[in-house]
Amino acid sequence: MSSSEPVVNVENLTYTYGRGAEAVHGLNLKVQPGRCYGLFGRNGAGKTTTIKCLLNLLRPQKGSVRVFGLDAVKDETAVKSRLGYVPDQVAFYPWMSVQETFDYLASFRDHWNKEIERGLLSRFQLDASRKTAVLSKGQRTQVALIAAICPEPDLLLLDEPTSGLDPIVRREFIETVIGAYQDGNPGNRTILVSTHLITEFEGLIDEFTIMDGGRSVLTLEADAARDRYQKIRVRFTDAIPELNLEAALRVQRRGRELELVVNGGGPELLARIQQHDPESLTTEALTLEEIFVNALKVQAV
Amino acid sequence: MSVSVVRLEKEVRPLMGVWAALILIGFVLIAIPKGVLGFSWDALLLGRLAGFWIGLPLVATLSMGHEFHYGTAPLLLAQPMDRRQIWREKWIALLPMVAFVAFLYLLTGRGLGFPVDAYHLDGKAGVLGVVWLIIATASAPFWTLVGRSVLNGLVLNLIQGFVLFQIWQWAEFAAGYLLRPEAFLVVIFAGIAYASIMLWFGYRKFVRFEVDTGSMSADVLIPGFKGADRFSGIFLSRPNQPLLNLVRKELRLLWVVWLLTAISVVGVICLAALQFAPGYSLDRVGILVAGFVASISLLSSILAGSLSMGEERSTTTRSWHQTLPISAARQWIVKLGVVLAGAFIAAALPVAVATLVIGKGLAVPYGLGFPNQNLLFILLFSSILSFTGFWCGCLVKGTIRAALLTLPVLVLIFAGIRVILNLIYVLHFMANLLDSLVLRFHPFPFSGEPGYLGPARNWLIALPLHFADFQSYRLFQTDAHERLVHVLRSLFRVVGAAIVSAAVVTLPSAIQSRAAQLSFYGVMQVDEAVRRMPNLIPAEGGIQLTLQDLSIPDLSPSSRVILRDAVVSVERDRRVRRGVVTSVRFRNGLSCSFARGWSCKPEPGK
Repeated sequence: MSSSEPVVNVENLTYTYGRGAEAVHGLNLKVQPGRCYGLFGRNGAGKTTTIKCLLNLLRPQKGSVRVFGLDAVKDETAVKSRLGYVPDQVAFYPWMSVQETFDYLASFRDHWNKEIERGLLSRFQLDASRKTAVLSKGQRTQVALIAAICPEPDLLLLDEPTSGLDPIVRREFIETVIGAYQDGNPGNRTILVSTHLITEFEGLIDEFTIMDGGRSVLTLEADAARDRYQKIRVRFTDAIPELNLEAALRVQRRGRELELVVNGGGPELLARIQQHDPESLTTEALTLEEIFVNALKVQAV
Repeated sequence: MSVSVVRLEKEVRPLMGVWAALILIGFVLIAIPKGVLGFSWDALLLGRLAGFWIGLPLVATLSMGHEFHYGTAPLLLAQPMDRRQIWREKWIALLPMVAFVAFLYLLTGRGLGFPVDAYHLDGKAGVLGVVWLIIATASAPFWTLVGRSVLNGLVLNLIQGFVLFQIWQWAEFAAGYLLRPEAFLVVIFAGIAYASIMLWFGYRKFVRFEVDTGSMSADVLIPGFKGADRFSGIFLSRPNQPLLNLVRKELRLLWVVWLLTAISVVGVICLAALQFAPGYSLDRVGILVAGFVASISLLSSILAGSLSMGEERSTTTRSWHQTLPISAARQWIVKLGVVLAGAFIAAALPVAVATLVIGKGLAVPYGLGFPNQNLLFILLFSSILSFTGFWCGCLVKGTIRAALLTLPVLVLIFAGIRVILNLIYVLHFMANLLDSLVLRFHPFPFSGEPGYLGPARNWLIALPLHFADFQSYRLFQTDAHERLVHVLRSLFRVVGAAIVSAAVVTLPSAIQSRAAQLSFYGVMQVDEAVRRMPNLIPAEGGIQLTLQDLSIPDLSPSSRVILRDAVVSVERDRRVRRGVVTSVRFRNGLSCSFARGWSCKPEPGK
């Protein structure tokens, strides 16, 4: 794979369950190496189906899926040997202890970092001798995270990784574990995370795609998104004057105050507002979650 | 430990439970003589049959099916390993286990449940059994991947077995060389060829397998028979009918039982048609039908019980139902009622159809048949199996576990009863201990022949099951037991109840039986004393005597107690030359006479 080639390259992916239940339709996705890529969407948007296609747990019915430049179907083993996966519903063999589970999963790998295993077990305060059957949902997710990170893969696929984790562990996981994973080999370790808890990943996401009804609604770099999606708050001395607000995604009026959300076209709108000499005028970038909500609202309209 | 050993251990572990149970049955049958085990021997033979025809295919199904059962299919298939390697490792673990059990079972008897005499199979039954086992084992991965659960895979595999059996029968008939050696060879060749094809299908299915459901474990319902949806209108909930909706839900949960019942009815009709084919006697067809119906009824009854709670435990809808504003008692009664009714219908309907199409030719298979098509017997048989399955479903999590636990639980309960029956039999030989009980609590007056419990003792099981009935209500309200110690604790309570109830019922019977013996000895001693004094007996009429008059020197202490205040009447027996009739009227009014035989009757008016 050349350095410019994306780690994940999905082109025109379509997958339909049973009769007519189209989960993904014509999806295009490119994830560059070393990036943390977010796949955002509501429940049933097609995020899990997309990730399963990357793992060859589902076979694309149309389009192509390439991971590390390899065909995810034909070169299944080669692809999987370079990635780690945390599923949305974590399940282990109940008769195995945590340690036995790690030993079992390590048996499939060429490389397994024992130091990381010990360090994360201690950080999550997990007892390695406990049976996986008696672990809570959150603890099972922690075990799955450790198992995904210990082989030090080039690509980490996380499907709703923080669901079931308590706030402290969730923060620990996002800030420390994911951060440490990427810092281990900067510029080469890639993360593809599917979630609807967008706020949690706000600082980590480099680029994202918002999905709805199996289609891509919006794909942007996080910084570009924050530049484009702006919230403008204006307070006028008198009543709100007549303004051309067609460029605004959302308009909210409260007495002499006006709150606008814009997707691009912010400077022109600001210039128009300033002509009316407002009492105060502030602009701020939208959070990724607000962008997500607004993008889907526009989609719904 | 090398990585391949770690992976192999993981493949072996989920099969171990069922495999160990099958091995245990085989070893017990080899190691312990029939006389020691009594009724449990028959249960073990039945267990061996079920083990060979259902247990071994289950082991083969578990190899792939446990990944669905535990929801680990995505975990396994997401690993960087060629699926062909995973497939190979599964077979490396499975094959020796199946082969070992098959070998052990063939050692313990080659019939394997085939009606050898009716088929003139002689030594060929074992070979046919092995061919069937090869087919069932080779097909197991394919059917499991199609059914996406252990239970679906097993049921599909067993249906396949039945269909192949039908094809074999009709092909023999059509070819016109019934039971000739060449037919036997063709069957073996065709069987192995079919197994190879199914193995190839299974391999292809696995290599291309898509995990299109979540990792949720499901035994039957979630990925299921799509045909069920066509009938779903019957099971649709209606507003304002909470109780009926519970019933509908229960009926839907038993979907597999209804399917098996339908298959059983169709199967009976297909098999019955053989009676018109040349070479097939009515007796032979009767044995076939009875064996078929008995095995499907056994499976249906166990499933009816275990599905109801097992599915709800697996899908966690049980705890959800606990939050509904409807009492637990009502939910429990609805569940149990539908289970028992469902099991009865599943057992009785095929029998009714079989009786209709076969008539008197319907045979009694393995001692578990249908004596006089007795509906009460079928009701009791299906109720015991389904209720035990239901109890197991309340105790553990999941249909498979509950179904697997059902027969061992029944064997343990019967064994508990058997232990007490044997103990009481031993008590007869410890006369002093039993006599002290008899002389203290002897159950006079009694009339007629004081009997032991006889065949009725088998129905002693009703008592511990009644106890289990109450226990199941308590278990129904709690979460399933995951730890072995909890399961054993509940199990021991039921087995303990079996032991206590057997003792409570049989001890009075033993005391009564011993009391009758002692009375007999007492009257016999009196009679011998009378005969030693022929001058005492008048030529005409009779004479009344007391024990003091007879002055019996060696009267046993127990006879002294029993005969205290008794009045002895002696008269000539005119039907026999120099014959004497000795009658003893006990103080409680019971009158026993000893002439050519022994009889007792209570005093008129008492």
